Amino acid sequence: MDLLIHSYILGFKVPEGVGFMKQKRFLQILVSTIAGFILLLSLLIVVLPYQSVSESERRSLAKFPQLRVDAIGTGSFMEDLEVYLQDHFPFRENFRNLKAIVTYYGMGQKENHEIYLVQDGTKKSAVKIEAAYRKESLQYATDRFAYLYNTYLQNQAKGIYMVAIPDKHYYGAAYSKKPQMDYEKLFQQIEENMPYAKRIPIEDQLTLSHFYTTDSHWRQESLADLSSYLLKEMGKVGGQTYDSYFATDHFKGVYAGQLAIPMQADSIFYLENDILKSLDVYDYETNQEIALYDLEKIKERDPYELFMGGNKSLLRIQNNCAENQDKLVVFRDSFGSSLIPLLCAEYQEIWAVDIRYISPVILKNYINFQDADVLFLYSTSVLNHSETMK
Amino acid sequence: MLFSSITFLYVFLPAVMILYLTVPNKVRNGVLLCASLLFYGWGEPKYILLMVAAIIQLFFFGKLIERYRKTKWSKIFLTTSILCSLLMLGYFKYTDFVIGSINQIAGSDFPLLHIALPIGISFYTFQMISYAVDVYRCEVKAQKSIVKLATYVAMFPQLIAGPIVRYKSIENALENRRNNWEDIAYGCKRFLLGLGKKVLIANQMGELVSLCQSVTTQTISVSWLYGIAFTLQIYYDFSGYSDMAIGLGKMLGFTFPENFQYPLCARSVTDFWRRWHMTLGIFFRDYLYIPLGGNRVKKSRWFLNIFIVWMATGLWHGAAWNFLWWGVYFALFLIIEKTFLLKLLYRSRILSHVYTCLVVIISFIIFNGNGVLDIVDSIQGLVGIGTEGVLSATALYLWSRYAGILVLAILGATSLPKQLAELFVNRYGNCIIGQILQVLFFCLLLLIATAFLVDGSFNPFLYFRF
Repeated sequence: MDLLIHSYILGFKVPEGVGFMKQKRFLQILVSTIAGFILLLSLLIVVLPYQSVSESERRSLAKFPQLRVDAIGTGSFMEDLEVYLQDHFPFRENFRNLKAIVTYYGMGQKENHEIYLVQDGTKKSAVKIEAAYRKESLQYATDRFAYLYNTYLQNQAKGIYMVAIPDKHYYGAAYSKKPQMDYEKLFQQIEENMPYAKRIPIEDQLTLSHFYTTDSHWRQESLADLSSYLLKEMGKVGGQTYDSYFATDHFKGVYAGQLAIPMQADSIFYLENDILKSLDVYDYETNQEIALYDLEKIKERDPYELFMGGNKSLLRIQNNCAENQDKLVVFRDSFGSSLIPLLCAEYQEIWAVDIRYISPVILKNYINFQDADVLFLYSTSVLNHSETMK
Repeated sequence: MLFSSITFLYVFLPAVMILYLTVPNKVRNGVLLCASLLFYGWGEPKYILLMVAAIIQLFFFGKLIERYRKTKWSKIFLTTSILCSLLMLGYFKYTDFVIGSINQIAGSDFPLLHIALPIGISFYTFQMISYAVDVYRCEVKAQKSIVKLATYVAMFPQLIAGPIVRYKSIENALENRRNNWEDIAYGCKRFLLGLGKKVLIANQMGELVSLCQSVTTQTISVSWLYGIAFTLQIYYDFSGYSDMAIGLGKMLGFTFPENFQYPLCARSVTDFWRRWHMTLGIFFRDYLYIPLGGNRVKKSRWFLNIFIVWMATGLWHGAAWNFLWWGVYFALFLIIEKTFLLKLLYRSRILSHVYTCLVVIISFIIFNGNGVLDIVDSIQGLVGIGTEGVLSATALYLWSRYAGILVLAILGATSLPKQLAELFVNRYGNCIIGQILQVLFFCLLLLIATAFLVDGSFNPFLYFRF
């Protein structure tokens, strides 16, 4: 390429003639077009309205950095300005799409930001690569679980169970030949670190089709059999039946935004029966009753939050139709939002606790663990990145 | 400020070019100087005064060298000016290296000073030295205007990463230059090609290098992938930056020297260094090798000269022992070639090319090494020592993921794109379609490069909870 310019651009004179631009006119058009693009985009940076949030990345966009002498002196103002300009560049999402298409297809990398597509029936499913088993992360997570056991559960809880939900890559890797962490090692480590809990393996109960194609989460309408299986493993009967209700067909989940390649939206269905309709749900964050399924959320940024109101730190669910007084405490991540309703039928009181948002220290003010069944319900991706657990 | 940044492309460059092209000619050096100082201060606010002080020193010593020509004072002023430049470079770049080396050798525990290295100091000090020497040698007249001299030293296109521009090559342009459409168009296209090389190829190779270094199970194929990827990364990064600098210079009315000429197609190490970072090679040839006597001395002295020049070349690239070994490594091969190997190499095109590629790849493994053990491990990995087989799942994944960009990078480093372009122009250069395609190509290149830059702030979260 080094001498490409010399010979190609300068060394070749386009002869005059009918039907083509004069050389100078052509060069003027070339320069004007390139300059025009740059000037237009520069102007739009200033003119376009300020965006505060990136929907695709689920984060706040950078604010304009403060003009301070010390920030200029250290160069941090300049660094922050670059990030601001990247975040607020005109048509940012379109440019991200372009970059994704060039990387994924043009360069043949078949992934963008560690997310790739796998054929799942007639549709393609977006999957995030989990390539490295992070032993220290799992150790931290199980240390927090051990704190909960030593503080609240020992000699109190009736049955203690652990479910590690395989992430999509567990199923996608076989098709894609992408590197994969050693899941068996992770499961084994869980069992070794949690001798007080019975691990319920569910790897064989799921396939890629149980998950949304554009999101990391599983589809509630596919979980009836799994919930029944879990209840039986926990000494219950299981076998509940549900009606499926349509919520939306415009769900583009977290992976769709990160991958930035156009994908067909998912449909969300939710399950109901007479028991689920009678459940009372109390949210300790807002100190008020909430709906089990908040259908207003399907119009908001993350429709998956319709399940139990999304990421809540502490919920209490009361089953007024229960035939016993059994209690279930679920330590969970967001996967629990869609599964926990399907476990409620055989308990009178169900607690959903997310220790990423509430400190385990204060749980004693809310929950009596005496004779409760306790279920640790976490996805392998959260266990492998457990830094946010308190 | 990097050329490959949104701030430069969409704020600094359009503002500077609009101002530069609209002001009268006599004011353009001032505009360029102010823009260059802003550019430098943007990335290095602390050291802008250092560069200004260095320019003032150069200006006055340059005038003194010329005034006292043909007296011993001229040489004294030249020596003083060079010492000022070298001491400045030495202090900021090599102080901690010297202290660390003394501690290693003598077992002492002197504290490091942790002196931050001013951006571009290696380049602009060499330009300053070349100016002072050229004035002394009567190859150029001392610049009477400090603004013009400062513009030469601080000119933003080549300030940070070269090419090393000799004052005499732009002396006339500093005094009197005109912009025309041909130069601006050439500059635009050259700049965009360089931007594409840096953003689309070099950065991808950089990602691959990081992935290779983080692989826990090393195999022979990963070791080779690392060496090849780093060689390509450094080539595209450096040559891409040179292209951008040359393109910017052209837009401003200056013609900078070429810095790369298909170095990865070289057939010997001697040939490689006539094609790689040519302006640095020319600098060391004219200002160190020839003054030492070059090859016009007895053989032992000739070899010593080569070692001195190449140790200096190595150390110029970085203040660490691996850069010194890198320089010595090349010195050895150059001596071997000059004594007998070159004649043998030119008998076989393929073998000479394979030999050169191997030598160069290993050299860049040394260049990028983090200590002796790391370098030895990496080189041993090429022949399977300390590795776990030839292939692994990770190796296959990396090779397949980056196959496309590797092929593009390897082909792009040859004259093949030029030949294809020639075919295209010969066939379609006479028609409007060919010209429209050219416009579309460069616009698309700009858009794709921008897309990659914009995506640089990608930082996702799983949940909307803020």
